Amino acid sequence: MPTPQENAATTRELIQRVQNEGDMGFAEKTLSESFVGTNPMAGGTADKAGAIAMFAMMRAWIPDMHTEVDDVIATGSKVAVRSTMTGTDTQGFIPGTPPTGKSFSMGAIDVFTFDDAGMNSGHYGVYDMMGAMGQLGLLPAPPQ
Amino acid sequence: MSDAARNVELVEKLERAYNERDYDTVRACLAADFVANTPGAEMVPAGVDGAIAANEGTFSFFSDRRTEILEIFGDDDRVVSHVRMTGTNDGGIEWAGVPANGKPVDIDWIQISRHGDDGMIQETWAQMDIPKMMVQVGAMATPEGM
Repeated sequence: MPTPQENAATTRELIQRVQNEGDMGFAEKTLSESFVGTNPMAGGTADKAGAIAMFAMMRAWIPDMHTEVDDVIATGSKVAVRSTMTGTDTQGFIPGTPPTGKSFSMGAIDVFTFDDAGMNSGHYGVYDMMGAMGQLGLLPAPPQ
Repeated sequence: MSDAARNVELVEKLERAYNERDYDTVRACLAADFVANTPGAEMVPAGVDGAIAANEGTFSFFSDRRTEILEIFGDDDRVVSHVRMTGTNDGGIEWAGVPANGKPVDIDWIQISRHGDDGMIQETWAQMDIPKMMVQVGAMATPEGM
């Protein structure tokens, strides 16, 4: 049974190696076969394969995306991470729209669940997409 | 009771108070120099008054607004809460230019609160699924692939 501190260390390594360095092998090794995520992209699946596809998609979407961990709260089987995600819109932030070339800084809070073997078995997160879209000038003007 | 358990109970009490618009209890849960690090916090006054104004704002958009805590846990001086809010857009969302239209909203947020030695909340960080809400009230199309 892993300690909360061990789960927190695994979470930090997952963010660094997978999100920041694109090491999908580490995600293969760390996500449980029964993984359930709650933020699948449109057309994606909530399982392990869907999560790894999303990590890969994010690397292609924002190639210089970097997640800086601001705070970690770990207790029981849960690890919460508050972070700041920065990147440059070179591929089209909203899929199908031209890239703005601008950079953004987006607040995020994620919650990871770990099983008794220390494998990451679940995830959900909320991101300041509205703020990032505002920084990129992509928000529609409110109707008058 | 550990500090973490006490802090979790305080966040549960605060969430009930926001639902009941019981601002005496809200003031008893938030420190006088409370800071909200939440996108949109610049639209309301600083501190406790801003937290109350933000809550009253959501009641003006959705008069039947209700929240439920889906998950909550604490460690040391911080508490993480995953909250679901449901309601009906019967008041309109002025800052977004959305008129009242009777559309239902069902969104969630994650909040981290930091508590003082007395258990009162000193600071919060929250992320809310605003794009989902904008889609639900008809102010934004569903972005393709998101």
